[in-house]
Amino acid sequence: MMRDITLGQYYNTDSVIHSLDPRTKLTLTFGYLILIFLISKMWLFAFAAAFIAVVTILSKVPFSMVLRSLKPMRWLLLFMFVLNLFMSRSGEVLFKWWIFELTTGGIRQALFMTFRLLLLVMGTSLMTFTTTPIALTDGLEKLLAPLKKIGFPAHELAMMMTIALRFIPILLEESDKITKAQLSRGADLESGNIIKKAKSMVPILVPLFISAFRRADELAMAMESRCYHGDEGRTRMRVLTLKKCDFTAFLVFALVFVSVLLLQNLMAF
Amino acid sequence: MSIVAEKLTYVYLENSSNSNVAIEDISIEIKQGEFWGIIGHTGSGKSTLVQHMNALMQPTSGKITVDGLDPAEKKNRAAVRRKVGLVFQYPEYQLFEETVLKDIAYGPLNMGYDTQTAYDMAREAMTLVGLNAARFENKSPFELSGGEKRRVAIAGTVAMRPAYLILDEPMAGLDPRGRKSVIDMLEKLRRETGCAIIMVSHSMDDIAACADKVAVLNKGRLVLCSSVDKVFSDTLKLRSMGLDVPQVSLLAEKLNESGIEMHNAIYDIEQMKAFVLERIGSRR
Repeated sequence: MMRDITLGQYYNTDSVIHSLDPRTKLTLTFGYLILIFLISKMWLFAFAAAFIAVVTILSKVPFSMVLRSLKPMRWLLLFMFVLNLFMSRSGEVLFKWWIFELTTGGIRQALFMTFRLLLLVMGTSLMTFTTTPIALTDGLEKLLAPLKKIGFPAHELAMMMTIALRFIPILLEESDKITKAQLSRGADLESGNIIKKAKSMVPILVPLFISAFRRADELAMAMESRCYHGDEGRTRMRVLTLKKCDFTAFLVFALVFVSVLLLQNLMAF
Repeated sequence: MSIVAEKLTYVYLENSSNSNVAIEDISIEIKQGEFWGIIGHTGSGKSTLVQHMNALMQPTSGKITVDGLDPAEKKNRAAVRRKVGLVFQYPEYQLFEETVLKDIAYGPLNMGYDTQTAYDMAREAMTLVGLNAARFENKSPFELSGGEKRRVAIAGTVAMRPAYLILDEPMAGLDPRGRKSVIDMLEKLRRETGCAIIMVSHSMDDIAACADKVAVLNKGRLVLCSSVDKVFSDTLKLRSMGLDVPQVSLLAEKLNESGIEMHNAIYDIEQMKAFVLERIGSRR
């Protein structure tokens, strides 16, 4: 039942992209997002698409998986496309009906926005395909570390995210078990209107919350009894270090970034 | 009137590369009023099997019927769940109501009884599981001790007056005294309500203490299925599957090895005590 939901979408394999430092991937993904938003000419998206294609090949993640990550976005994409199609009224009028006006400018705008969104999603999902959620939170903690000086709880935030991620499958399994237990006591979860359905969830939600609190309590106890006292003086099992390939990645991306922007400003079309 | 499984097979994640056969080709008949023990290692398919009996899972192939009703048909499922009560492992984690009485009455209320009748059934169930109704009914289930919580949860299923009561590891996490009191409670339940009891466990001693019939599962298959004395005298086969043998059977085996003839297999501690005392007495 609920166990079929896969969490995160980490694709386990061994590749150059996988071995990059999570900080590198986070920073470069952020840079990539900026680049996508800076691009104002449609043909320049071809460079971004080529960049994504090369990274995909290097990461050994099958193309079909990257495309599948777009599937949950299909309605949003369609909505964006249709909205933009009729929002922008510039260029030649091709078709007119009631208040709807289809213009060449509208088609351009709709395609442009769709490509932008497609590339955004593909880029960010490549990061989650190649980085485990735990590595991501580790990287995030390190990146946010300078903000600790002004009192930003970077370590606590990362620890909370790690624990939350760790507990999602456990709580899913638990809710599956409790659902079955109440079903066997004759619980009817399917019939009735929305209010009745919501009420029938109470026998599942109450035990689930109690168990979440109990687990939180036990975990806190276990952490304290192993001398966890927050960030100060804590060493790490996996120390993040930037390697040669990380610097290469930065360099390659910087080249792509600069050349795309140069092309955009120098070329007249 | 019985639960009949014929060539029951269940495959997890069928049509997938990591499909996993949970139970395979299981045929078993559980008659009304019997006390069954189901033994097996973790992952041997015990829980999967009992969930089929409660219509929570549907077989990949094969068939299961409860008093002739086939839960493969959706309309039969509610009726099957009424006949077969299933108490999960650590059932105390499913309690949710404000008072013990309300929690136990949840099942009867779902069956369509009016509040008054449901409360009466709940009180009756409390007495059956050994909880003083007057003392406990208005307490919150969350302020009880672990053993009391477990009794409340078992009462929640008993209150539905099932013809078959399945308990998945009812003794898990209890101390020896707690285990003994659960066994006593189950025997009393069967005596007073006449329902069949199916107890899943991996403790041979617990099953030897109360079951009449035993089914042994190994890697999803039913390897032994007969009366307690037959199963527990087959110590060789039990050992070959890496399962324990009841401690009394171990002693019987040792006595046999040392030349003390035993007429029939003894697996019950009281019988063994009588036997040993008799032998000592005859020597004197």
